[in-house]
Amino acid sequence: MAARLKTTDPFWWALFSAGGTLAAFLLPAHILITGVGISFGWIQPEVIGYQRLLTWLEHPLLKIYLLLLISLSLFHWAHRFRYVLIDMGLRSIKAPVAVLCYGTAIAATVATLVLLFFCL
Amino acid sequence: MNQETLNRHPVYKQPMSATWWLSSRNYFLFMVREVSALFVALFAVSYLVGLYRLSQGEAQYTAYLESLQTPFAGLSFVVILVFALYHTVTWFSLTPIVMVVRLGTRVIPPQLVLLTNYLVWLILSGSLFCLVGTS
Amino acid sequence: MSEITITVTRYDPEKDSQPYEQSYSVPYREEMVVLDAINHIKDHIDGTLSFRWSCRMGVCGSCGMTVNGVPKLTCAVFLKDYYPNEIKVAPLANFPIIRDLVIDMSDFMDKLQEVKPWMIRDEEKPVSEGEHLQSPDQLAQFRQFSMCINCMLCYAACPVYGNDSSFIGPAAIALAHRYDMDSRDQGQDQRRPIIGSHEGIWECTFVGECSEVCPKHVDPAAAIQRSKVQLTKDYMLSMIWPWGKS
Repeated sequence: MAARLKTTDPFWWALFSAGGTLAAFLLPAHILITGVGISFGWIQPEVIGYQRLLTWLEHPLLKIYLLLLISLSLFHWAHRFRYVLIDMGLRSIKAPVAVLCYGTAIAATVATLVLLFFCL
Repeated sequence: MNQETLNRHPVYKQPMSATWWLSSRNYFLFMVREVSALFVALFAVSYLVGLYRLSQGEAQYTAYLESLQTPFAGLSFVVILVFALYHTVTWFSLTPIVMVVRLGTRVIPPQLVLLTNYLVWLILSGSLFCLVGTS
Repeated sequence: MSEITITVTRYDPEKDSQPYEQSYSVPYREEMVVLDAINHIKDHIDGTLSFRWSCRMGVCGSCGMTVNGVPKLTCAVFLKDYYPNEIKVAPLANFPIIRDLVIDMSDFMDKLQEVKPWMIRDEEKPVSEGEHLQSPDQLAQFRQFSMCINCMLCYAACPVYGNDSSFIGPAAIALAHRYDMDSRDQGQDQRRPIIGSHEGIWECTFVGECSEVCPKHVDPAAAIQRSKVQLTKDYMLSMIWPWGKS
């Protein structure tokens, strides 16, 4: 049992996989609609207008959806970015880099959680 | 080769090039795939910023919406979209290797798994479009 | 008589501080493989050239070298795919060079032993009880991973191993997986601490080049990713139900 818990790798890998899957399925549509679409005027900005968004965000399910989308995308980046740096030759500061990467994802998750459930 | 032999015959350690990922097409595409995660994260952060502006009030949020319509934002989103699509395509192509889906003793052929991924992707994307566009 | 240039890495640890390249002109025939060319150099031009080879038919795994930057079995690479261009033959990447094209494979041999690539039973079945029975489906679960000839091309192709030789590596994990998936084996728990350690499957970033270069289509990358899924499932289960067998 102790041997199994010695490494936390499976935990971060699970977050990485979940984030990667979510991003793969959902992000392109999100980017097209709320990003490229609005920038190029194909979609009216009122579609994600102030009042409209606040009304939508009254639904806790939508809050959870956004929390998962943002948080898991960042955990996906954190794990992959940490290993990209190692693949690029990072040797000496491996531990601090891991802390920075996962720490950023954790911070972003907390910020999103606070915003969605306490401010909006 | 044991330690005794090693002591008599030193070996030459081949150095690993820092630009190994530029040395072949496969290695380069691997690096592009990994870097795509950065752009995925950037978009997620843009959503976080949007939520923050939303919490600050109508004026700040409207300003945020206006910043989305600048040429810089437009270009950024195009770049992010390209990388996000690359992430999707590579992620789907790797899924059948990572997960062997079994129905009893029969294995679902990888091509079918791939097709299912794309179908689900289309359905989800379409649903998102309808939801955002209509409700 | 047509000829082709073979440029070979030379290194004599007693004379040279660094490896260097030496070119030879070798007679070219369409059916020749790179190993034939290297043997020609040793037999007729320069007897000091050192290299490993054995079966010359792709089953022993001895003749792995870097050919024009790609890890290959030199007995399986035809000169005609490069002719009339020069062919560069270097030692297998990511391993220390002992001499010329001969690399030190002790790290791989150690790792191979670490993963216990043999049948482990809680109790040996006595001969009187008969054979282990295995269905074709059960065989299909692990068969491709049993095809490994220990040629180490996958280690040469793996940038993770190149950067950090503490990584267990593709072939070792594929072989552990071969036994873990074998219905007759009961040794999964013994291999777990090695495979599930940080230097085991978790250092892999799924570059996938190991499977690309494998001459026997073992697909070690698949073995590694599937192990990640399995170990993650077990990890989650142990979180929810810690009283399971460790």
